[in-house]
Amino acid sequence: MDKPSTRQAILVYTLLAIILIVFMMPIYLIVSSSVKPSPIMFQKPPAFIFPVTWEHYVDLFTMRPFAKFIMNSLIVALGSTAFSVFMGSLGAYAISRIRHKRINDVAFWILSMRMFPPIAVVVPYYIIFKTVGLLDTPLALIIVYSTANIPLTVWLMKGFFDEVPTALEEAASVDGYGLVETFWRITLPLAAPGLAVSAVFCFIFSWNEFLFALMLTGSEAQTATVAVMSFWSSDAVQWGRIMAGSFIILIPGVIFVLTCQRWLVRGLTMGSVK
Amino acid sequence: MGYIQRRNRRIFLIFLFPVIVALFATTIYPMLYAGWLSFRNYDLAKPFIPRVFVGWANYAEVLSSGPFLHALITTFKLMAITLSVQLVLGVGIALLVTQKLRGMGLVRTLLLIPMMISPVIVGLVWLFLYFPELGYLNYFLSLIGLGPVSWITSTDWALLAIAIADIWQWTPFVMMGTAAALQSLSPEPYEAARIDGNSRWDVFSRVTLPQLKPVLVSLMFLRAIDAFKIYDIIFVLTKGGPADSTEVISLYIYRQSFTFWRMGVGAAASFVSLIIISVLITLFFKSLQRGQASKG
Amino acid sequence: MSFMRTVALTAALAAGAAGAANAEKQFEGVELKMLGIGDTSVTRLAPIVGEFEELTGAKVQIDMFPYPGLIDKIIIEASSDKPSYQLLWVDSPWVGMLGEAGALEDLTDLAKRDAEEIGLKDIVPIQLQENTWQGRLLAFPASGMIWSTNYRKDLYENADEMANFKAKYGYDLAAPSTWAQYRDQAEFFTRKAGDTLAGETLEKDFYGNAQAFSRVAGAITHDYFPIMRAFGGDYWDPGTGLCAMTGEAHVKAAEFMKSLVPSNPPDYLGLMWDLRTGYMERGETALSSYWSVRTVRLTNPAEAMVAEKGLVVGYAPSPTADGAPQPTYTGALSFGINSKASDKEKEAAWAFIKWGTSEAMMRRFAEEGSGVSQFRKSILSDPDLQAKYPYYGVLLSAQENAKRRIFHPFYQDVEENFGIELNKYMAGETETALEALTTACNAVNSRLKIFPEEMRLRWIDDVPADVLKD
Repeated sequence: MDKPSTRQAILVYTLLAIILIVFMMPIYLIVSSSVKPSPIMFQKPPAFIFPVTWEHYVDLFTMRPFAKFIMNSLIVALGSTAFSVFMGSLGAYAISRIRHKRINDVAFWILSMRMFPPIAVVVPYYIIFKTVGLLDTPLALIIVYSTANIPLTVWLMKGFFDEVPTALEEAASVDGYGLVETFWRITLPLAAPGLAVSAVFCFIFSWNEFLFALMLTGSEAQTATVAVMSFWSSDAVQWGRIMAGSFIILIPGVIFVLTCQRWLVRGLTMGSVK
Repeated sequence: MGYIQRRNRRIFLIFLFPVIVALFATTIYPMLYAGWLSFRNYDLAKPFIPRVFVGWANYAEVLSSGPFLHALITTFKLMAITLSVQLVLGVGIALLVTQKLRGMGLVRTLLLIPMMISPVIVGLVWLFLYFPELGYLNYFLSLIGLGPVSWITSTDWALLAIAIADIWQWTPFVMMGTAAALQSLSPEPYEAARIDGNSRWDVFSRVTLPQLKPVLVSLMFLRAIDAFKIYDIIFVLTKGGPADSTEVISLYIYRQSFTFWRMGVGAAASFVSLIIISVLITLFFKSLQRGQASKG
Repeated sequence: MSFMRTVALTAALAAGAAGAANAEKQFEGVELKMLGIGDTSVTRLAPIVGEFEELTGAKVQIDMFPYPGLIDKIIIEASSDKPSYQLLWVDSPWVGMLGEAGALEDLTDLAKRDAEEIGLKDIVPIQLQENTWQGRLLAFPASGMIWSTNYRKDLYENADEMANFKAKYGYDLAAPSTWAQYRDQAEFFTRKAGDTLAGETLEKDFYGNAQAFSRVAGAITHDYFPIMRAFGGDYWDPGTGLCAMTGEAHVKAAEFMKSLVPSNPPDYLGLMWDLRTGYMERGETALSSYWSVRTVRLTNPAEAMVAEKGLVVGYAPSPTADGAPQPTYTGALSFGINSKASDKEKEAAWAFIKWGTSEAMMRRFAEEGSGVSQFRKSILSDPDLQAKYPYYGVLLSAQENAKRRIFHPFYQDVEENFGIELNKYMAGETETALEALTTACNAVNSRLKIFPEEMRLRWIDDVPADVLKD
């Protein structure tokens, strides 16, 4: 694709501006509510100019060990992402390359792990983790999230591996590359954008999950999402603190996505060098 | 043939086997436990209720239950709206943000933000937006002379309101996957197509779309699976209400498993819904393969 | 000699000091964790648990979780033989479910043993009753609740409004003592933008009333039950122990609640706890009944604009059907001990509960600022504190005649089914109140019918608290 003309560029920018305004409105709401004094939170019409307060951010860190909870979220999300992307890529490659009539059944079985409604397995997971002493540890959440993230990666990466011409792999094997080497040196780099996308999606899923994080953790491994929701108490939803927390937990996520995007671009240039 | 079989076996052992073992080890106990529960009358909160074997009674109850059927229909309605809009919007935005123009990286990152917010919090944020009187959305609508709309407080609008929140959160998913695929497409077919003097739409529909298809299918698969399980947003926004207009399968399972503590019924409903989504996905699979075969 | 004496003295001193430390810090090395929530019954205590450790040596950690899903987490925790949490935060309607499951330690004997120390007689009796199951005390109040009416006193005392009201309804405008008056006043104060309210032209619509009609977290049932009880309805049939909420009183109560809709904000179907109380806190409604844990916010300018705007809020007991006194609808937010904790942990947990709910602690909270809905007579009757928190008077007097809220082991079934069906009725999806109530009752009864009648009758029996007997 080459560079669009000026007229096309104006059109693209205009459309994107409209899309951005619509998509960013809720984000604006989060940011503005996070610095809005509680009594005017639900004023009508909404207050757009108001005395800015930082109390919600202060409360967030003084009323809960919020920095620790963010660290927990990071450990869980990065751990599950790394493990899932690694395992998922292996699985996806096998499913993409194996020529066997039962391979679709295997693929389907893997996918069904993500289809099962999570509510039914909360209690059994609680029981096992309690028995083996993993309750309230990041590892418990890494394991549970990986059971959902591996299928996701398998399915995404399979699409990307399918697009890598097998002729390239055959050429590599003629050059004396082994199976693993071919995969590692030739195929995987060509599917790098897929890796980046999978990583982002795995990260996001682990970062955001609520039900398991609530049930399987206590003070040690509580994640930021549960901590933010804990400002929904028996008598009130403390909107200001929830919005402040929501905004803060966006930041590591965005940084992770940015990092992956750079990786995505590098993957692309590697691909075009071929 | 011998070579292919040997190669298959080696790929299986090196690549697939570890994945199967890992998934099996981490899911077998919970799945067996859930299966065991589904044949039992099991109330976790009331240990004084005998936890007896009840045969297929839980399954019979789920399958003959009006609320379950209602939840199933509501889930499919919601999926139909969200998936179609996410597909069109996601691909459309992906085409825009992959143009070779300045600032596209920033735009793409900004557009990913909705996905970075936990669905439970997305529910709270949209609650803020949706309130007929207190919310921002009706305020903005009133500025252009529209509304007020009873977004989540009327049975006519509530499902659509949930759909909008879900579309807002997950369109970026389709957008990002599509953008990544678009950027990894090889440029040759485009050049050929342009030399032939095809219009932009022709190039898109004849060259881009067919190449995107595998990725789009994967993305829609994953969206379909997750959309079938949608739970958090509704749990916060409407909890199935007003009345039962936004009751979905997951809420039914949640209510049975936790609120009513009828874990056997909840587990049975989980397996029933697993079977339903599996059958649908298999059918989809088959029709896709048939489509490909007829093309080839 | 002097050396030997010094050694002997030092040894004796050391032994004495160790003994004293032992006596003081009797729970050295004990670690307690509370499965808690982030509301004022907990958040005021959480930052100062270090003081308890200094006193007793026991380390306390309070984990705060969101209310949605909290009871699920407690049930899962209680089903485990080896507890992760020794202390459990309890909302009083859960007492029956947790009690029948044997999840909570019986505190009766401990409370009797330490009656003097905890000031048992100082606690509003119904707050103890709220925490009993079959007469046994299973949790200890950390925050008490009553259902009461909050109204815009400045409007009620405006001469024009008073005259207009009298002309229209034929009686004097004052805090409602009957639900019929409540509706009259809700209707009377509902004004459109441009109308006049207390001599001023309104810029936006004003609502006479704000009640919760939302299904989220069972909010609608919380608002329905006090009305239902006022109309003479009970939850259960005293003869069979089955759901009885389909009677004439129950239907009338549901119809009455629906008749409040025109005086409510257009958001009514989505109004849950704080979205509803927010209207009162901003002074945008004339009248709203709700739990006192939110009433306490009205005197705090950081939480409620009414105080800042110079508006005056009046506090009154919840109306009754005919104006004659009726038992107040109460609730409690409490601390309980996990029955599976070790004996040592239980002792330490009890010491913590005593410390965290003591009169000294409650007075400290009251003096530091509002937030806790108090449950001790000495504090609620303190003239200085009454001046500072004008609702104390209502909190105290309303509980002289009070009846606890629903406490059945199947409470969650009731809340969920009635939440759905009442919401459907209010939304106009169900034609009649009777139809809605019948559907909900049938759903509850389908679960209850399998139990022997004597068991069902035991579940609905509000046995007087053993600790309240002499």
